[in-house]
Amino acid sequence: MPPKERLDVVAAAYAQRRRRIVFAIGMLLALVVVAIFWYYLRPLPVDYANAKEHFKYGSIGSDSYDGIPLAVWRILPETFPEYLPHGGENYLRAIALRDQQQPPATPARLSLSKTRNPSNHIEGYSQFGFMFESGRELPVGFSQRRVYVDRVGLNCAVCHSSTVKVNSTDQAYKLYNDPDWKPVFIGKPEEYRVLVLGMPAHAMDLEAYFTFLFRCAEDGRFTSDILLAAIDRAAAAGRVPKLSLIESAIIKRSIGTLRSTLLTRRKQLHYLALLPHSAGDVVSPQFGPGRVDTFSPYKSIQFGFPLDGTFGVSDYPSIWNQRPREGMNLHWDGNNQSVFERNISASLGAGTTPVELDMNRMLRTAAWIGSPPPNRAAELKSGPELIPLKTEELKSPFPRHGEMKIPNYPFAVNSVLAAEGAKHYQEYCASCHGSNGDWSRALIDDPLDNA
Amino acid sequence: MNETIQRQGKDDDRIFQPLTFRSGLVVKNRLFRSNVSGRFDHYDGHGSDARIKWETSFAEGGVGCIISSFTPVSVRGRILVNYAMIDDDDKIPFWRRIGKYVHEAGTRAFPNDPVQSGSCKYIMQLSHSGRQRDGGGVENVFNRAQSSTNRNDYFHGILCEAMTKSEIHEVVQQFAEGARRAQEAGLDGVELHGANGYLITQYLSSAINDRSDEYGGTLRNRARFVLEIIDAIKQKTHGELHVQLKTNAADFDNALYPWRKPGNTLNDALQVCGWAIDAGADAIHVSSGSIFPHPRNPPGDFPVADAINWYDIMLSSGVNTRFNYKIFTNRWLGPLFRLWWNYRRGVAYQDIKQGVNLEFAAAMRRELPKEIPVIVTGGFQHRGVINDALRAGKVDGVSIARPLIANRDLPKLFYQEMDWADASWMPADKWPLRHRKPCSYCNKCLFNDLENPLGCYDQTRYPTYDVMIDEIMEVFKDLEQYQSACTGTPPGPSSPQAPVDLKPLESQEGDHAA
Repeated sequence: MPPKERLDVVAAAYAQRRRRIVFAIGMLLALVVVAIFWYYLRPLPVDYANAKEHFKYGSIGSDSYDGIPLAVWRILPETFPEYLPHGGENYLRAIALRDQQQPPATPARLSLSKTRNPSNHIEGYSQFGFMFESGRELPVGFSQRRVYVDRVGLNCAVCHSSTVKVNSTDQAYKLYNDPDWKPVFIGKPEEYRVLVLGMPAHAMDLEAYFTFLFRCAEDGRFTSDILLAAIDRAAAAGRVPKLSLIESAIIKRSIGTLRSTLLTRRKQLHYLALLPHSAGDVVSPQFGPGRVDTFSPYKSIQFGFPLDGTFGVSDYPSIWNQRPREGMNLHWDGNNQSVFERNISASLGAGTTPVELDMNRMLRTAAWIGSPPPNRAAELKSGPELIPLKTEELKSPFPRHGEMKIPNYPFAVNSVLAAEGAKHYQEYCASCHGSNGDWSRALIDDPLDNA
Repeated sequence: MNETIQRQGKDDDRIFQPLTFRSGLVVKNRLFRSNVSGRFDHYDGHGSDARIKWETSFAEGGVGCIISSFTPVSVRGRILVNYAMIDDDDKIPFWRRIGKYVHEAGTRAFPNDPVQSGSCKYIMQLSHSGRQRDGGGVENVFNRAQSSTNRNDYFHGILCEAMTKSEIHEVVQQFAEGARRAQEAGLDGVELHGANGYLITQYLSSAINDRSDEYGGTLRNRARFVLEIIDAIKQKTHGELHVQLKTNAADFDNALYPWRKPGNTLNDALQVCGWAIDAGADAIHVSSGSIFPHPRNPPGDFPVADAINWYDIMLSSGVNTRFNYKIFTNRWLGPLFRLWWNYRRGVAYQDIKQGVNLEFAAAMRRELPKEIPVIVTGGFQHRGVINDALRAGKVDGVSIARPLIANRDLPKLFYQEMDWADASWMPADKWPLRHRKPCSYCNKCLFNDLENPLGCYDQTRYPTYDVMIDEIMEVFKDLEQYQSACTGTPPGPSSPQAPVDLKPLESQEGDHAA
């Protein structure tokens, strides 16, 4: 190697200038990259001007980097129908019925009319009790966010919305006694299933949905090649949009990650009753529609606790009238008094993570359902230390009663049965929950404490 | 002093009046050959016979005094290689010869005139390039040019560094030593090059000097450097040597790039000249322009084709030169730059001959003491213009460089009352002026000097290209009277070291054995 030549002062100055120019160009390129990322690739969820729509479809963060790509999510039911409830029998029947009533258009006709045939995933995910509004691609309780590609995740409405079956449109109007309110019917019009926000999702089977995803991921066909081929087939039939080259490249790369994420969750939730088990395995009771094991997933996913064999499957609660709940014993075991904390925990339960939790959007929902502002919650002495938040960051104020309407019981009340029930309540319930529904602020008589 | 001598049968001529300086120097007429450089000499700064011939050709043409070319006082302060320097005592013999020949040649100009047959005086211009080091040569590859500032020369991007105080004292002494050598060589005086952006200007100019010590800031501080030089020269030469200062009447530092500060004004220059005169300067030589070349100096065109041909030698000199060269070579930007150059001179092309600095010099003449002559340079080549300026008392002398290169016998022409203005009607047999042309201010000589011998490169002035080249090469023709042999000293160091007598290896061994 010959010795390095010494640069004269002008050459050295030119070299320095070259370095500066290269640095400046580098910085400029970096700026351009940041700008491209910021304007085009930044993870941005689909947002809704209407707070009610935000409750139904807005993001709380579960659709972020761990979200399932929408294109993959759409074709999972038709690729793995056998893992749907009842072995996919009802799904296939529904598809057949749909195609019989409205035969799918040919691709040539579709390209002329610039429309799409209905996608099979609507029938597929309806099997879990998810509710598709007419013309909507996602069911109530699913949000969408673009993280390089569109992804889906769950939000509050998935567990806290359901339908009430009424006998007529008139009866539907009785739900809110409000002539301006228009009922949203789910499913066939003749079924009169009215969407009611904030009520327990009594027909939705979350365990079945999770089990479906886990079993799909376990399947040997859950590979990028097969799934992309399935997407291409569905796109050719006009059921789903065609993937661009970039989308297909990103999805090809992301399917492996998605699979390993799902398999990790599957290992963590191995006790779910619908998963295949060996003799001697500890198995949780089956959730069934409208019920969920609230804390076992926390223990295994968030905390990594070893399985202790205790399970607590319970009904979904309604989430109306949140303001008075501040300071009450919240969660099912009453271990926290902060509605703000309860909202965060519930969001984590819906699939987001502490890193990906979209705090501002979650709080928009919280405000809409009438939760107290977080800073008020932070003033409470009890409970864990809370993150200080600035309410100015929030576009929505926290109205005293929230904007979510609280429905009436639409049906006639049998006064004889009600009187009998009141007696039962006084006998078995009032010791803990207070008599006359007077919103007791604490557990009156905690049997565990007494023990 | 300076009484008017009526010449027999001549009109009120003021050009051929002797000019006496307070130093005792007497110049036989009011025409000075201004300092103009040329790459005639040896690389290390030893003068050549070509330069002797070059300078004597002007003396023979009849100028009263020749101001030498840019003469660096140190290698680090050169502007281009192949310029005779005064950085060492071994250069004295050359300057002694050139002084002798110039004096002699002056007597041949007007042999029949009792006054004008006197010798042509020779003043050495002591110079230091500072950051305006267009081609530093191999000795300066690894150093930055010395300057008052760390900011590069803004035209060529020549790198520089602010001088420390000890460096300032060293350079002041280099100037003083240069003056002593000029005195020992028998020259008639020295001129400090304090104009056109060279080192002294870099200290004087408020647009360039950004020092915060006693050599920067106020005008008095900025002038400290040149005043120290004058003082050191006066001490070193015992006050016996004529010292004059060439300075800018105004800097026009924003001529090329309008966003720059304008620099020193006429009032600043007057103040500096006043101090210099108090310190011992015997004359003021007025120019303008804070860089060289500058749209005002040498006044004239920007020859784009010559810039493309010859500016390439400077590509390795600065960090803006490649950019400049791209401008010059660009089909559209080169001509645009030329237009800009001519526009920013502030003087119309046809008015250059009136003297671009004349009114500045007139203002200085009014304000400065009467016993200090003011000499002005900048585009003069018309007898009428010069005579009018002298008659009106605007200046005491006129220095000419490039128009004299074009017509070295211009003083002889003036002596016979000929002027370019008369050329159209003068009979051809009466005076060869009909067949000659004045300097066109094309400035091609300026760019050719970067790589070629100095001379007039305006082909339109010559019948053929070969005639032009023959005239340029005249200085290299072998003339016995200028041969080094006639003085008995070869060109180069006057007292070369005797070569070491290396004996053959065997004989050394043999000696040892013996």
